Amino acid sequence: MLRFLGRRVLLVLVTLAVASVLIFAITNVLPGDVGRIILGPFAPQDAVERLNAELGADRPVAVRYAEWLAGVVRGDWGRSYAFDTAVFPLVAERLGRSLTLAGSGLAVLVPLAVAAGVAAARREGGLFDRVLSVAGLAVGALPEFVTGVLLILVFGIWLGWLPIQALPPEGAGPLTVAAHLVLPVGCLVLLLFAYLFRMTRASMIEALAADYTRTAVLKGLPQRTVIRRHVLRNALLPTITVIGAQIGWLVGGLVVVETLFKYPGIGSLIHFAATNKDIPLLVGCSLAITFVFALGNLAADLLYAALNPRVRHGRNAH
Amino acid sequence: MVKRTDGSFPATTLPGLTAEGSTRRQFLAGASSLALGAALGLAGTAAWTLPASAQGTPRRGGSLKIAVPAATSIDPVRLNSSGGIAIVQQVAEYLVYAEPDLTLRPVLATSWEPSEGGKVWTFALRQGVKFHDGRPLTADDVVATFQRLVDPANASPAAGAMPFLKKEGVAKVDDHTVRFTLDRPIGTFPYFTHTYNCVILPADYAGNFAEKPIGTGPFKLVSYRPQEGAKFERNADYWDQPKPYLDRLEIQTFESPQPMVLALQSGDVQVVQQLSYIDAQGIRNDKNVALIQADAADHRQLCMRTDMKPFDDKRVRQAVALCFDRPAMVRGLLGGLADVANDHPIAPIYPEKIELAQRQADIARARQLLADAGYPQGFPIDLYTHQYLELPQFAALAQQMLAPAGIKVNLKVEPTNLYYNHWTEVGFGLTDWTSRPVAAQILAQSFRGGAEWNAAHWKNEAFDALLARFEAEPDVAQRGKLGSEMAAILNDEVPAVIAYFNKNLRAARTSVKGLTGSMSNYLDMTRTWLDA
Repeated sequence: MLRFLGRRVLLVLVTLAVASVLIFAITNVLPGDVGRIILGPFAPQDAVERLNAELGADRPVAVRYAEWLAGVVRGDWGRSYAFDTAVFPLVAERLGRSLTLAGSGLAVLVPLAVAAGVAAARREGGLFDRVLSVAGLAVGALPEFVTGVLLILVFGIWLGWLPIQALPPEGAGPLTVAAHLVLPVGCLVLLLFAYLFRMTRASMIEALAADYTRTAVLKGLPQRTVIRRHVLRNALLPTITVIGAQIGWLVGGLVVVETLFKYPGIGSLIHFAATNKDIPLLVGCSLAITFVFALGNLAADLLYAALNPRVRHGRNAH
Repeated sequence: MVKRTDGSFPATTLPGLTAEGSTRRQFLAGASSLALGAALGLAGTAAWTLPASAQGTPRRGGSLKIAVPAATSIDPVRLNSSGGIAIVQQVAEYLVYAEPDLTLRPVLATSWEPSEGGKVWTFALRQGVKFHDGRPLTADDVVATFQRLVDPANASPAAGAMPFLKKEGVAKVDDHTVRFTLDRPIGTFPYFTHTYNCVILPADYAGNFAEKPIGTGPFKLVSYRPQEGAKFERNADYWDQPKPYLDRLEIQTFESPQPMVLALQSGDVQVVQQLSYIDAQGIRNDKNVALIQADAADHRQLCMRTDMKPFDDKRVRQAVALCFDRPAMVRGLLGGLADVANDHPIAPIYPEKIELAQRQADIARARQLLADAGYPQGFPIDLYTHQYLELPQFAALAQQMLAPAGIKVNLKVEPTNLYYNHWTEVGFGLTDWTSRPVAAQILAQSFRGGAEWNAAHWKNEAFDALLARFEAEPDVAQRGKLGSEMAAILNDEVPAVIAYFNKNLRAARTSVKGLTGSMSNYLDMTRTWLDA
């Protein structure tokens, strides 16, 4: 298990290094010119060139990468071109916010979707199953700017029950913070429910029909034990992998939700950095998201290993 | 509240003293602007305009939240984004402020006087003004501010707006007098000091505005957070007491328009600084929301490269201009919130009255002109524009309207940052132009031979000679004549199709009083107050 963990941590570090090289390489083909973007279309060309020189954005990408790497080793992630502020504290704050949102979303979504998936699978084709399958798919097919606007209109404006901006006022208590997160979390749950529900349901149906389940039932084990020890343990494996893979997206890909609910997280920050060619900021955000993605996968793999002895003992014998 | 200037005012006076307390003498506005302005303003009143400025006695206190579009840098020297400009405008101030009717309000300057035919301008500064850190405002600060902006060693958009001002041309006369010596006469120079970068900063400003936001403005910046916004508190030492009326101000930046409108509807914000006609649809009938409309010189230039085929032939460009049904575009694209234009950028808001027959759509004549130019079957052409406001819809409409003449338009709608990287290079490009308080600014930047943003690469010596006289001319009526001649040349040569002048929209909860619109979308909160 330790060797497994060591290997995986090493892999995370390699992933981060590769990601940083790729990001710098990609910046060369990103459209736009950072000096022009900051000063606007009507700034004189020599002012634009002057600013690019000041920012160092006119130098070869390899030089910029080497400097950036040297800075990161010293703990300095550089300064954002557009905001003229240190990258690390900004990224750390945004990452914290995005983790809060994604974490709250998962905390609501996972138990809900898994329980619903299990219940639906146990009565496959029943009313509950059919209603949830159709409704979940229908809602999940709606893009988040549609469900989000609907939630805001109904609960924020017509009923006036909930704040429509996700960011609580400074110094707010936990209850206020939670109230501000209800609508964006609701939007996330509606978006992802169908996917996780169907995943759980399908694996459950498969596990319920498997030989080992029949054996367990025929052995005379109580149904509760069969479900918990034999069915769930196997059925949840693919679901865990899926959740692990979703974490990176949940942290960095929620641009629409963040924009709609005015919740400046890392998703809108990286979107800004990319469209404004703010390279230091873009690299900082990307690394933070890559890191979370890698950690999410690592956590999923560890959990998988804990549930599946074959992986744990290093014998991937399929 | 600034009163509209008297329509009968003799239009021959040099821009004179604009001392506070006395009647504000008209600087630019002539008889025409009053008549036009009134007619245009009233036309939209029923549905759109909030009679914002005069609503009872202002009340002190309260706090207000304002939604603005995204901000990037808030360093006044560099800044260019709408959100950044709105934030800085609360903290720091200009020498003068152009009101919605284009009269000039004295702010940090109390009067201004031209000499040598408009080549030298002397500004008297207001006495007793303090920066937020307690230091008094002096001529040194004003000199340093303008030198910083036009110094080639600094990168600032302002340098492009004032190509006639060099660092050496800014000088202190005494502690409260500053003299600008220009490269050539500019009859409307005071308006140029209202360019968004030109807020007066302390002489020792070192490019650290987010950390040390020091100005003379009505509000002090308490905090600024990227992509979130800024918080302000009232400047108790503000020179224009009892203003400002609000105790606190919060400016929230939004990455897209829809959340702004939702926040206004829910009451999370009380003002939306600017929004497009399309975005305003959802609140048009909301009784808690008022829409404030300002006439503006915003327009779209459909530029044709006059140095490349097929647009090197004037007849082809004229044919393109003849394909557009302008009243239909104004209705369809902007719900009527625009004035029909005539292929020149001198908007009705400007005091220069342009006399020129309006071009009407005429497909038969367009086909004839194309045939004469050697394109009887028309031609295919790529049209470049970007994802911004109604530009993509304009481009799609252009595709439809040009088709009957045989011009097959292939649309290239690009992301904004990509388009601005090559907008002056493309053969056929549709670009948004925002208002400038002086028509000469737009004419010089987009149509002077060799100018950096002359996207049509058009050169006309007669036009350039007229433009030089127009820039230097202090007399409105004279400028009107010169302007008409220039407009006629532009209309005949058509380096760019200019189909309409947009109006600017702003939205506010009805509890917000004393808020005006702005041709430049500037945000002046000194006179705004909240009705309990």
